[in-house]
Amino acid sequence: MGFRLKVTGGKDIEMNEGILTAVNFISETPENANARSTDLGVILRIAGRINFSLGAELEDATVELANWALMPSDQANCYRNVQIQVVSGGQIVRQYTYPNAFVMDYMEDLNDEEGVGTWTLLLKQKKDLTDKIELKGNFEA
Amino acid sequence: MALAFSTADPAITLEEESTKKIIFRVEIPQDSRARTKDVGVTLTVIGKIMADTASAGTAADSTAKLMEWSVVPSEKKEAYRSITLKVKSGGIVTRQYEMPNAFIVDYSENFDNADGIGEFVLKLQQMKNKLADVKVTGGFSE
Repeated sequence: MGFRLKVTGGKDIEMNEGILTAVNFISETPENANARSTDLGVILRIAGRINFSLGAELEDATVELANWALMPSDQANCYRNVQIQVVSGGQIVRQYTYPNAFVMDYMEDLNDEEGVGTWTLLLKQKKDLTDKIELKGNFEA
Repeated sequence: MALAFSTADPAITLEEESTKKIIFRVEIPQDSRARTKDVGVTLTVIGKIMADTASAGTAADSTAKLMEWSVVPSEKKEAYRSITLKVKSGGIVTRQYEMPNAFIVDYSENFDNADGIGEFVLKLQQMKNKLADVKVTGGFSE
């Protein structure tokens, strides 16, 4: 099962199955609600490797993830369009598109044992625009 | 992969043998409805505390300077320092983190009678509202 990521609306970011290792789609409402709540948040958690491009054959796009995470809230491109595809057996099993995603948490983890680093990105669609997200599944690649 | 940590004014340069793991994190409150101004940038550095063998001609150990920094009171200018962390891999600086107004949130040193060396955990944060000065770059030669 492979993952493909496309981020547009700032400096474009593209990543494929060589970099991405895990994707979680989370839709949540307050746990203490008496009935179905209107306070719906949609979250995307993406994890991957920092492979470090040495000869620059492939630009290391993870630096741009760090720069996006550091972007102040008064700038327009702190909200970006994010699309994740989960690909398996010639099929797009899932395609999540968040047109106004912002970074809630970004973490880079590096150590002297593994040779490559890892990162985790937690995104949320801007809450008043939650109905703008597009969720699709099971179509031909 | 080697991790080179240094601060300026006053300067601390840790030996590359001393650092073993880092975690760089940018976060905002997770219950926020949109992107907020309340951004925290933290850098955690985990490393080894070894005996200083500079007199024998091998690597020194500068971790004691971190210990001294961790008890500097907030009234003093030295509580805030400019820090740089370089991640080196294959002759290239693959990541460089710069936090010009970093302060220590937490610092601990742990020793036991089995390991032979000690371990330190240093948690740094960039002064809040000075987020724009944090720089993450990478992919250039040393």
